Amino acid sequence: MKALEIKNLYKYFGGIQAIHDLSMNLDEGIKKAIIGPNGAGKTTLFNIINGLLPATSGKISLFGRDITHMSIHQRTQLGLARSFQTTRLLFELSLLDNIMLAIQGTQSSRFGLFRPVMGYSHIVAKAQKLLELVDLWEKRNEMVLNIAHGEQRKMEIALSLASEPRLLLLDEPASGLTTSERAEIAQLILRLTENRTILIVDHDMDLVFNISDRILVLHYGKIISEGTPDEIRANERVMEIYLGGGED
Amino acid sequence: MVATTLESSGRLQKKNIIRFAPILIIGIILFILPSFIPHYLVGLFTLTFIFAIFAMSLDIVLGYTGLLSIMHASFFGIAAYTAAVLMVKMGINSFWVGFPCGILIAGILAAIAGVVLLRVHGIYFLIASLCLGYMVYSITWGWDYLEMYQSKGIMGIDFPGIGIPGFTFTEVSYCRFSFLLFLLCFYLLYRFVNSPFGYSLRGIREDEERMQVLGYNTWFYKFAVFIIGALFAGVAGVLFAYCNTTVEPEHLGFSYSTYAILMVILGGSGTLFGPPIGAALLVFLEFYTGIVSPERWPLILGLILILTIMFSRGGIGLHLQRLWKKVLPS
Amino acid sequence: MTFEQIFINLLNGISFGVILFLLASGLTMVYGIMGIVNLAHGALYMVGAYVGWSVAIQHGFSYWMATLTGGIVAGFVGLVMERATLRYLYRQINEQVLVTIGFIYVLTNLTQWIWGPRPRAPFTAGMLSGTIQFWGCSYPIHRLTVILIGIVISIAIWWFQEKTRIGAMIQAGMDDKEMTMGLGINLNRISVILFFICSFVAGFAGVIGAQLLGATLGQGFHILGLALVVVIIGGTGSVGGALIGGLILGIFDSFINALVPQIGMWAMYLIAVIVLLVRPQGIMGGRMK
Repeated sequence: MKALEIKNLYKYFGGIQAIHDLSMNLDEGIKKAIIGPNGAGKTTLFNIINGLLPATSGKISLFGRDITHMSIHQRTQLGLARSFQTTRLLFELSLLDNIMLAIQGTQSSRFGLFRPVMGYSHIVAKAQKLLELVDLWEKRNEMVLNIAHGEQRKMEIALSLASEPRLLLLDEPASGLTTSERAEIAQLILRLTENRTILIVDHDMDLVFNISDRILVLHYGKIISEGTPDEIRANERVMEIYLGGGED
Repeated sequence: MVATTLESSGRLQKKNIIRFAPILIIGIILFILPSFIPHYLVGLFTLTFIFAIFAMSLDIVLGYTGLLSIMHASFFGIAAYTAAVLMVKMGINSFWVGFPCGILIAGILAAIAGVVLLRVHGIYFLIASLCLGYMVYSITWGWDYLEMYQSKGIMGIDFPGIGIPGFTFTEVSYCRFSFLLFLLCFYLLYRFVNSPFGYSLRGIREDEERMQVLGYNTWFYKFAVFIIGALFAGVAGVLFAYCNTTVEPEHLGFSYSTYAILMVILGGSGTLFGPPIGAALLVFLEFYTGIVSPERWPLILGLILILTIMFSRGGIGLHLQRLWKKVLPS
Repeated sequence: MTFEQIFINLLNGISFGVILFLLASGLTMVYGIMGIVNLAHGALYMVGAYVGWSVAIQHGFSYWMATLTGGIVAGFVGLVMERATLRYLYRQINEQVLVTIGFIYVLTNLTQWIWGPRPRAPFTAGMLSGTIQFWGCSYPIHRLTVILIGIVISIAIWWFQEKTRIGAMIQAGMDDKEMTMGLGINLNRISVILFFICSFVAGFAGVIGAQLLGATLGQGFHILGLALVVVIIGGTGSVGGALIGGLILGIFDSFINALVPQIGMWAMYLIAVIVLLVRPQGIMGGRMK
């Protein structure tokens, strides 16, 4: 089954063309990376898939359902989740509260009016498990504002996984990290996303080639190439416009 | 809070008893006190409990959800008017009619206002809420039915009948009654803000769009909390009408809205015990200012508002919370 | 309604609309450029009206002197507000709103302390106090003057924004704060100047408006509500929107009060509600989030 299907997607900001006639498919269980120089439209694409931005025209389907005009939260309920390039957490709440809210977001208990939130033991247990997986359980009562940037990046991944999404969009999970932290994040992603369907954007080539099954190259809003990591490495044109232009 | 849930329930209960003992003692004192204090203090206590409910009802909208609504007195006032009209104009003096009707009308008004206001965000929300508040105020002001003896407002409201044979409210028993209702509201709101729903509101306050990405229909949450806040404001409004003997347009206007905002800010927004403290402070301060120089009360009110925002952002609640943690370490 | 009545009501509406425009333009510019929501704008209007009354009636100076003094006093009051509180509250909209609500109380009560609770009747310059005859109607000269002033000020604001260097900076500030900073323009100094100008205009509008409305303590609240409706109709950050919104509201108010006076008090808020439901970003707005 196709996890994601995009047909003839266009996006204009005023007169500026951000995405031009983009069509792509993503099969369930596949990890696909999107690479391309800055301004290639990667984050814009994520925002459109996610519902943060409306598409100018085109059609997006998620697991066979047309989501082009669905609201953001409805897409999440269908099994979509994402992380953000610039950390977007609930900064003045504790780590545990962040995770609890993320898990609860796709559970019916989110409408509970009376029972204390900490009384839902299965959610608390799941939050504990997730926080332990990213090594942040000890800091669960600290405000997100007060933890280090690297830890916030891990929280961003933990939050995106909390709903057990069927399709996960990772937007530059390693952005702003040091080399050693990048390796750690890459390990974390590999460990946590086994058998998951993923669309990932990142500038870190090691990370991208390591994680993904297939790679798609985006340039000024157009797809210029798609293939396995090896095929992309062998593609001269890609190397020229992207890898040749510097790592960043 | 988390640590307690994960520990054994036996220790948890013991800790809770220690934790809530001071509250319990204060509660018992407050319950007995009205019988032994001067007449004017009973009135002030009653007002404090009523405004405490009013302030808490705003706090779940302003403090927990981050929606600065400058029309909250509309719900308070329309409930008060409903109770007053039922009693004075229609001769129905049963509490069991006035109370639910007042709350219901407040809720309906909030639902209508919510649909309009939640079309917009941020700055526009508060401007729009201010305009809607003016509108409710102006309609009330201009409506002949809501006038008596050529002056604005409804006069001659008495304590309601409660349906118990041989029992009529006195000022002292009404004070106790208000206190019990305050406790009930506090308990319900306490459960509410600690429920999944209440936690979601905090998330919306932090970053509404992020919450949508996490799967929350934030419009629904804001709409619901707006109505729930109005229902509790309605409780306060009905109680207020019965003990104030008159209801005037002022009670649903700008000044009462800012009054409630000040109680929340002064006491500590985003905490549940802060606003009642803010309410007590303002009620007593207004009374004693009234003795010395009633003319200058708005000036003092304005200065308190400015100084609180500039120098004590978290309000008294924040300082108390720190003290609480020091006295009772974990 | 006869043709004369329609005509008179139209002129009344336009003159009232001009005052609303003067108020709302200050409100919307301060928000659009500095991101500050100043709810005490109506209170500044009121201060201007009372100061103007003192200068013109109490001390017998000329009306034009009164408009200038009213504007300057309001300008300095606004400056004190900005320097003492608002500049520390950059980007904290809720806090700005609460502080300026505090200032409404403070200014209204201080005004009451100084001038007493008695409202002041409308006053105008001696040379404007008569009526003028045309097409069989007689119409007060001072109302026509208000309209004239509105035209002059609109042109002045347009010229200021489009043709002067500081106006260009302000435009840039409205569009993109970071970019303006990057160009090395001192936004802090612009903020001070701009806040003074906008407060000045509020006070100035107070004296101009006093020709029609006099000076009352309730104005700090009441006129604010109307100015906010204008902002909702016109959209924030747009002076053109404030002009159109002000005129629409002024004319609407005039006709409603002539035709269905029972709902005159709240009908304009109904317009705000309708605009919010149909076009939440305002007629001219596109900037709202």
